[in-house]
Amino acid sequence: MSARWTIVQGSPQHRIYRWVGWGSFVAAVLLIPLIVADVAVINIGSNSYKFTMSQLTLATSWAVAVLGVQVIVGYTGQLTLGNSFFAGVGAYLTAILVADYHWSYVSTLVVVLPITFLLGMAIGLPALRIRGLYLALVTISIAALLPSFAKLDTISIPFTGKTISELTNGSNGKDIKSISKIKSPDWIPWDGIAGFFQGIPVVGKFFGEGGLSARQEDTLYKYLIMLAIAVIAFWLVRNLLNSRVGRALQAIRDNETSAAVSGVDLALYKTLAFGVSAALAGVAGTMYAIDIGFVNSDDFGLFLAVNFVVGLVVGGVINMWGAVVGGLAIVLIPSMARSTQSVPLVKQSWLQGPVGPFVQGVLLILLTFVLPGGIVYGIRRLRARFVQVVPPELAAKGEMEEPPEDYIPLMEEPPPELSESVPD
Amino acid sequence: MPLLDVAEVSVQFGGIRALTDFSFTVDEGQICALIGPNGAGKTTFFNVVSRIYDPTSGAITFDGENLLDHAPHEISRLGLYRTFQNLALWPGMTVLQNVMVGGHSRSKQNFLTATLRIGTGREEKRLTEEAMAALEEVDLADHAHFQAAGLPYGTLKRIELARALIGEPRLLMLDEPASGLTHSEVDELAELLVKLRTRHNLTMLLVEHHMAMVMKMSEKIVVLNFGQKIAEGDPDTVRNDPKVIEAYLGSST
Repeated sequence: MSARWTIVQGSPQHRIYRWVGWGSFVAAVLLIPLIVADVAVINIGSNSYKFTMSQLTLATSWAVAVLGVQVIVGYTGQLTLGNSFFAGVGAYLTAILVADYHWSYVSTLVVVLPITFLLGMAIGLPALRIRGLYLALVTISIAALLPSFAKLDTISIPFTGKTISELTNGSNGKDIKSISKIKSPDWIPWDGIAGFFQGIPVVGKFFGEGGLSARQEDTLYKYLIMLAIAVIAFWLVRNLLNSRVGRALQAIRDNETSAAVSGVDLALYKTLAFGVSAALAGVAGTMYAIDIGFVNSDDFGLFLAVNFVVGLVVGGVINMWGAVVGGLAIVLIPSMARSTQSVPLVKQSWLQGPVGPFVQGVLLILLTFVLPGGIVYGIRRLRARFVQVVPPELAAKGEMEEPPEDYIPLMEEPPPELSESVPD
Repeated sequence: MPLLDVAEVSVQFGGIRALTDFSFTVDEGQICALIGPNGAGKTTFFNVVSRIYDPTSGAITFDGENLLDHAPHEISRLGLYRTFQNLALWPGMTVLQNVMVGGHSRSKQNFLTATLRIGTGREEKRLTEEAMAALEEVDLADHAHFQAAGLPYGTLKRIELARALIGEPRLLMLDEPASGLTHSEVDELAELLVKLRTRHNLTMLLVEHHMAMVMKMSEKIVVLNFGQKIAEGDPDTVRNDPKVIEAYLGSST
């Protein structure tokens, strides 16, 4: 093992290390939109990949959705696939309140949060009795339900006097952007900001030339709103997971019996975790409505439900960065797979026609083998070769012995000697 | 009044009687051992006290409280903690976090206060300090930040002990604490348990096959065979009881 850089937790070096890490993340999050502006094209070999602002905005909302799946699947260990349902409910609530009742976009969260939270708790109730594959089956049928549910014209909703399909505009989809468009306020000096970065020598050319169009300004403003919602959501969930509650949820995941013996109320914690997860999906739905400005029930079916779980597994199961990466992955992987027209060692004729889904599938299979536990685990393992952060009480001992491999729930069963299972 | 009062507890799984009219008491401050051949019903009894199993009949009183009125997660609040025969730790968390969950019943953060960070800082600090102190007592403070998965068996057993200690138990139930340990580790464990008992004013109920340890530590021994109590008393009485000798060695006829 090559010489590693050892950083003691809480030391000045550790502080600098963290500031540099966070600083580059914040810079990336704020500057990449200015660089992309509209479309950025990156050529790798003879493939040209397009990255657009709309992908980035969509990724922020799906990151929040994947975070919701992470809370319930990664941390609480309840295999549920129904979160696209709550995302759909969130998106429709926002769309209806904005289009029909003229609320502002962000204020609809006041309604979306409690409703999706309560719905999530209700749908979490079966999880008190069933688990594993059976729970997955029950929840995925809920996910499959939404597209037809949104088209029902026999049930009318109280207080509105309209049927569900009248509220959701049935299979035509609900258009909001023609009614209420998000416009960047005049006080943000976009041109000044762009000009500042364009003026920097060497790197300035990446920021394009001249002022931004009104459409670009609106997109950037929309991105900032969504980013703010996402940052707040991640911060709140981080608080939750780094607490007594987060530990209790992980205890439920790893061994329910001993969690209960230690005083964790399984029924209460599980249902509340379902509520939190659903509320996050609801917020993601609201963000989707803000982003796309159009809600169609068919976009919230099984495919999205599966995509959320794909995002979780590709990103990382029990690390919140996994949700960030996962959100990006479920937007970028399909589009990059579509744009891939030539692969080294693969005959050109094989890649003619619509091979995108095929490339995507192969990529996902490879990822689970090459990076079990997700991209974030891969990065962490790689980082551990060069940098190790040790708590002060271990620092005196010098090089820490090789820490045990990361434990990845869902990927491996706990070693048998660690778990005593008691039948119900 | 005894701390734990077990009165005619029977447990039946289908046609199998795991425990039949089992009665005994544990006094405050006592070290009581529950012994018997494999399958005698010792772990079943632990699971009844933990409320994992419901007894078919009988009553269990802990410090005047009817235990059977309580849900599994309420037992620890009464001061009743246990370890598991085959270990029941949470491999996905660090050693420190494992022990901190042991303090669950003695802390208050909930979904709302934790999310909004209302008073969490102080409680987290207290829990961390208490968990570190508990790990110190079982001599594992330097393992605090390791993931529980992949640590050696003897270490895991001591983590379970620390997890129970942080709850400040009144009754500590140990299910075969010495199983899988080497000879010298067993001696160390017995020493540690006696030390912990005086330091924390513990009452202990011990299920153990390691006879030397049982005879050395216990003040009272209860012997189970096929779900029935066959003897009870101090180590010397039990050691010389013909029924106990028969249960362990088989009858001469």
